[in-house]
Amino acid sequence: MTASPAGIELSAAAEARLAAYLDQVRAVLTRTPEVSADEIAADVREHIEHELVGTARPVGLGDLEAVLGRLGPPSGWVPSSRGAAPAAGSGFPGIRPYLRERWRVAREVLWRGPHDWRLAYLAFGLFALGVLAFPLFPLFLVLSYVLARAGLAAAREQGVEVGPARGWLLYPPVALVSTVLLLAVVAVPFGATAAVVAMTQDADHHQRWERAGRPDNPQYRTFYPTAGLWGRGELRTRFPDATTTQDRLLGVFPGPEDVREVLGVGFVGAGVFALWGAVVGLLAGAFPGAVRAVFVPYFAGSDGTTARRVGVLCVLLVAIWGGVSDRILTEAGVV
Amino acid sequence: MDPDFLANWTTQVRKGLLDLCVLAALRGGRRYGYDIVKRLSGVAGLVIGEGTIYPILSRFKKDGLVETALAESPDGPARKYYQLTPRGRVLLGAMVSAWAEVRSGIDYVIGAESQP
Repeated sequence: MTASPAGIELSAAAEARLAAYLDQVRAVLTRTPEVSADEIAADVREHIEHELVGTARPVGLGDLEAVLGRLGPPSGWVPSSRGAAPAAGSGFPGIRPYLRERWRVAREVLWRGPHDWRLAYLAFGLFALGVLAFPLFPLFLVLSYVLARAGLAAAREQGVEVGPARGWLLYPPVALVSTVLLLAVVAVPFGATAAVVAMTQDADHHQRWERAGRPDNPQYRTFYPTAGLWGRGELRTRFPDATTTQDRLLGVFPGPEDVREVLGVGFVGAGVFALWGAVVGLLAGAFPGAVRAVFVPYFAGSDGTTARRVGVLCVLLVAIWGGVSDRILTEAGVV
Repeated sequence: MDPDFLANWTTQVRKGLLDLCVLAALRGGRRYGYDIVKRLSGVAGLVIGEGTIYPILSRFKKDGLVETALAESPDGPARKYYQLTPRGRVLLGAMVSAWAEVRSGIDYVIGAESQP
């Protein structure tokens, strides 16, 4: 016993029969550019759902066959005035006619086919073109991303399920852009931590040089000595009495000097990550729709609950971090 | 009478009229696909396979004669409703007039030919 994507509870045999029938609908109508095969398949599935309301669950093959019998064979649905292209399977005609036929079908789909499929083909075509003409990849990626999003929106609007075939055409640019955006969000606290650490070390270096009496480096002997003439470690070794605010702060941490420095960087990083997690978590929890829209296809089923929990947890961590920071500053005599 | 000829002729007449009937079913307002199918299936001899209605609706949509809208349903998932566009409404009026004219002409011919 299984359940179809639309939610009808079907027996395994009925499930297989329904899938085969809908495949047949698509196969017959895909070659007819004046109709949308996927949309019709969605309509037919909805029709079957209505017909089976009130039928005992799981719906058996017999009940399903009765409904399919009333719908009739899809081969009889093709508009008579505009016949479909000959069906495949009537013998392989050779590679050149085959390629010519495929090219004709692709052209038909691109220019006259259902617009949801046209968007899929165009989106993937531009994406592939971007890969081939690599220097122009960002431009092609933006174009294919917009078209793919439009294709997904069109399918949703029509109530059409984006199957695996169209998924392979639509999702590459969307998934790539969403992944890059997601990585950018994840990278922010790493970058912020690195920036804070670099600025702190720079300020510490300058302060140490000031407290050492602005010494000139005998190696260079310039008229205008600066802290930049000294390496950080060198300045510390040569002038061990010149202590800085950072030294006092790191003195609160246990262990030798190198270990204390690593612990200090870790502590700063923990604060930055907690702060970023609180901001992102609370925003994502407040606007789950925006998150789903920006990061398609990730977070498709998210209602923001997890994000809110992460946000609240990070707010707590920020509060704890703030308390510990205050204690460190007090112990170090900085405040 | 050749039965094959009759069957083919009936099919052609039915297919031609089905376009008119699908548009006419939407004259009163928006309907969802299943409702249209069931309404037309109730007309004797008009619909052989219920599935034939959906490609007609899809073709009309592509031609801009009908449009669709999703609306919440109290019975379950959102339903897709079909409704006539202004263009479809104009075309339906023209088709109804043309059909009335043809039918009256045919009735006259059949009536005249059956006179002794």
